[in-house]
Amino acid sequence: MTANKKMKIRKNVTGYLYVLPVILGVLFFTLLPVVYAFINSFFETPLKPFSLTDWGVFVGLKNYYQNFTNGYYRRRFLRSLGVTFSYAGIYIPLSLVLSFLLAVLLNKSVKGIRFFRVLYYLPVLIPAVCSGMLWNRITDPDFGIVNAMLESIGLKALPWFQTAKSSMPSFVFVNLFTIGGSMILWLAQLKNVPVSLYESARLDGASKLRLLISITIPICTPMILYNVIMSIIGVMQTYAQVITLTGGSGAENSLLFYVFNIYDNRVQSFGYACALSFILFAIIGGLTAIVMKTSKWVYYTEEG
Amino acid sequence: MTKRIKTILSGILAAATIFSASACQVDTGKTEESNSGKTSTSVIPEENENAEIQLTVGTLGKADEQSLMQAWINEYQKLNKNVGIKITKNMGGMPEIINWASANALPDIVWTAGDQHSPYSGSGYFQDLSDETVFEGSKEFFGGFYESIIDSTHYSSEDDGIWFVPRDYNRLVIYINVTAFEEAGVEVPGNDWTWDEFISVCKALKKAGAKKAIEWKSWRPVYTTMLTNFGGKYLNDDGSFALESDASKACYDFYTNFYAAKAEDGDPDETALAIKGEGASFKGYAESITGSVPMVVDVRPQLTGYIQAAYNGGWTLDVRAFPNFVQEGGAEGYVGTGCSGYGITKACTDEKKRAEAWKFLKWCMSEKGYDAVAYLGNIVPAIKSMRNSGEWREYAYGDMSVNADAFVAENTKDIFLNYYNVLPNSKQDSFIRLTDGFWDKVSTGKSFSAACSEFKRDFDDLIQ
Repeated sequence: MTANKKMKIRKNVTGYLYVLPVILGVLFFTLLPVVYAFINSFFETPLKPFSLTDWGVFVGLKNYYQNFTNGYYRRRFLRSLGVTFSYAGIYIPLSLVLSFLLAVLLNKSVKGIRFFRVLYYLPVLIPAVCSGMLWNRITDPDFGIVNAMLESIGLKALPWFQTAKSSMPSFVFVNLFTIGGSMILWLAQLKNVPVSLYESARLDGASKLRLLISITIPICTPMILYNVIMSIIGVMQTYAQVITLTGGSGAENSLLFYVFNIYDNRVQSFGYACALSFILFAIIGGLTAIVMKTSKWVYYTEEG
Repeated sequence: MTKRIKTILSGILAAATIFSASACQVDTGKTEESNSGKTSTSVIPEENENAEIQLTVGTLGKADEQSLMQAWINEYQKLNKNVGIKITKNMGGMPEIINWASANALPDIVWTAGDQHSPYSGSGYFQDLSDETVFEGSKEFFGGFYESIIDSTHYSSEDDGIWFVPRDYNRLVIYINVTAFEEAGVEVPGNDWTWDEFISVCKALKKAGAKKAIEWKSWRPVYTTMLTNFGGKYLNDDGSFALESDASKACYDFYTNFYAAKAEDGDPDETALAIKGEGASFKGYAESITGSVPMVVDVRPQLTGYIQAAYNGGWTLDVRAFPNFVQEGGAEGYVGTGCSGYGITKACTDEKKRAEAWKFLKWCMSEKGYDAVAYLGNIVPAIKSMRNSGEWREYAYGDMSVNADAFVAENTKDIFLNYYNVLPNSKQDSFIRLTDGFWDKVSTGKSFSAACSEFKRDFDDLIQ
């Protein structure tokens, strides 16, 4: 073996040693549980200690197709999908637009702007569980501060999470307070828009709206794509806020999110819960693929 | 500059440490001097590290649960220097037992709830404490507990095993804001009050300006207590659906008016008497009957939270037995009763350890054991001999105490809430969710027939 080859191998070994902890972590804490859950999804079994010999009763694809053949499971499955997609359909566009507008506003060079940036970002720092509990008290129909304020100015108190009709709008409203996370990403992107482009456009007599439509938004499209994909993944996994806000799945299951359905089944029907997880995996994968496939509208600058 | 920042950060850290440490105290509302011998000790772990036998315990992660077990451990270790007991695991819920078993880290003793243990007892996570050959004197020991509580220790209707030692006797009670009652000019009832008197009290409070008369928890024991009192039931003994009855309809209609999602449909003083909640509205009394909620239905373990709120808010708390819903022929009504407890797990196989774990649990649930933790205030003993005696009855926060008889009143019959008699284990959770969904429909204004037929449709699909 030549000295050159030896050096190359030594270099490679050093590199592999550096990434070994991550590889082991992914292997044991991600890949192994995924494979274990996938195998379990073909068995009828309650949650039980980890075992490679006791899997329960093999039922083939039953855990997958009973979502369509058994009325009880079908109704909950479709309901949870409906709730999750409705939320995604309302929340994702709304949060994207609002966070973008907020970022444009906070991109101004005004005295004290940093304070406002911090202020709008602060709710993101509150853990979902804590914020859920806080909002639970704030939106209490009888004793919550919002209803007290509404009543004090002569308006009717809102039912918030007490009725099926008002639950979803309330949930969207409450979660809009976390758009600060997307806002920060927008701000970073806005800072990267070359000033020379604006100056050239202004010289050509472009209005502020034209600057926004023809320069700012196209240059921000990679960030729009990133935000859409991350929002889809996040929204499809909504759980903690619901349980802390409503203590369950909301009035008449109006907030029965997909992950809530998985969680409800995890102890007594673990195999079915695993199957639901893989269906969710497929849904998220499918949606992400669609978004990526239709991403020709994304404009990448020369720097990428 | 850096030095100044470091100084400020150190100050914040020190303050945070002191603040955190202060939270470890058990608040009895008393100063050390006023305790007259009864110490308001923080339940700090004491260890018998060099003891010959070492036991491990898993309990709920809540502070009051930790304090209770730690108080027992500390006292027991003082009496038994050869045993060291340590809380090694905290759980958020019973499924964590499965994770512990997976990791080969199941403690010797584990907390369990009477209405949740069946899937775990039935799967062999706990040892059968009724086995006299292993657990000496068990028959005599368990003979001293309330019968309804012992019923909850089996995992099916055919099972005679006792899978955990019951810890407390939790019946639904009504906590009362005496100050608000006085302001409203409404007489505080006795423990022998009836359901009709309860409704009259509710209406009187509402008329006097209370926002709602009672905080009525959306909670399974409350639902089942109501349904049973009205003469309804979810299932027949053979597991068939039984909710379609006039009695169940009467209960549902009462509940609809009681909550009255549509209060404008009726006389506001006669309907909409209750609100849903977990006690926050009751605790939030602001020195006036107007806008208050002077009653709440709950159980003994919540007493400490209510009494602290009353003490700090300057109002007087008391408690009454759940009202007697007099049945046809004059028989007494029913009240939901439950318990928590501790099981000895399958991991505790060493004979010496097992014998010591058994001895420890027997001591905890003895008169001495109950007296040792009475100052914490959250336990009604599960043994009948302490119905009318023991330090648990003397619990006080500051100078405030409540009527202990309310927790053990004999005005109603106990009902235990479990469906293991008629449903397979794999269906219980889903079925219970269906019952929740059924009562939830009250707040949407859905009629009984619509709510009931949806319930039946889901139930039929579930058990097919």
